[in-house]
Amino acid sequence: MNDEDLEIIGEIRGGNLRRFGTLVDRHKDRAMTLALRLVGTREEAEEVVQDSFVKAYDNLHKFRGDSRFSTWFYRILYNACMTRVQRRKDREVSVEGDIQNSGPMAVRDKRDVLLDIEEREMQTILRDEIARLPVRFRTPVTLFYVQEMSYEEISEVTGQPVGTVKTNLFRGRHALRQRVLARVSEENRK
Amino acid sequence: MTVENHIPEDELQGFVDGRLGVERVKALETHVKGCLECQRSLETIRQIDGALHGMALERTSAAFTVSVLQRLALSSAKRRTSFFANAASLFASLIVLAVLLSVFIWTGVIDTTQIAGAQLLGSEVIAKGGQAVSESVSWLESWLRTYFSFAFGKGSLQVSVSVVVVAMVLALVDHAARRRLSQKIR
Repeated sequence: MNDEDLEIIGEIRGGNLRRFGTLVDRHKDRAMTLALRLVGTREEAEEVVQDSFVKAYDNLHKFRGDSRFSTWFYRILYNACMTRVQRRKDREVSVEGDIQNSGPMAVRDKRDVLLDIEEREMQTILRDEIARLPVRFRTPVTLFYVQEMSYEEISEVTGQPVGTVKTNLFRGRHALRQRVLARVSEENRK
Repeated sequence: MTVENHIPEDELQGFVDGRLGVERVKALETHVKGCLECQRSLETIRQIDGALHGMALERTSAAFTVSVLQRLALSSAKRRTSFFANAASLFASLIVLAVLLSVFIWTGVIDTTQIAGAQLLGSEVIAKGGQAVSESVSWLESWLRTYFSFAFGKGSLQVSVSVVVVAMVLALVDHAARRRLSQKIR
């Protein structure tokens, strides 16, 4: 994937602007997924992804190819999303308490309910619950599962140390599991 | 079996992610085989993890790529326009400056002998430069006398009107050039 991106970037640098369209096509949906998870609304997400692609094009001469294009690009996108999130003073519902006060049993009590849920329903629940996570957990969870990035790549994108990434990812997954199990058992009771 | 003996959640997650060493994997598998609690926990992690990996991507609008390319074309055209507009403005300003200079020389506000007097400063380069300036000014003066004779010797009002007319013509040419370029961009 990286080699193909590098080849396309070489052509763009050679003056073929149309090839940038190919690069956009290759990354736009994953970029949209990350942006939507971070900024929350579809319109804003699409706008921020467009802005990031334009910025990436303007700064393409700075991309040296040391990392994957996607990692370099998601750093631009992540910063753009965070600027928007901070500007809006994102009011996060803290799950800090939930995480600290709950032991492994909190998950274990409800786990069997997962067997009863349909896949599509699960997707909806996951999407909702990811959106409700605080942004510091939402980011690594999305980058890990959607972008399939390693801890090191997430660290490069977010500018956080690898240790922080690991901790936030673990806590994010834990919180997500608890929320999903709680939500599923609630749905089943209805 | 007590809760303390169960495999911690981060370790089960590490097992699912494939991040544990061979020894630890063996120990974990042995424990999980004999522990219903850990089996169920592992299954939960696997199920949610699988669902997360299988989550559908969000789609952008149909015209997304075209919009990005249009924005890029527009911004690069803007950069070109701004370059040409600046060059046109600079050119127009130089012409206006030359016209004004000629008018001032002709009306006696600036004495050309002072410019030619630069030859007396000693340096050959400066002298040659001064001579070139002097010759250029003389040429402009005669050119203006030929084509704008109506404005000379009939008072400063007519001179000023001539300058303003020339400046307006240049401004119109500049404006037309900018409009043409912005139409091209659209």
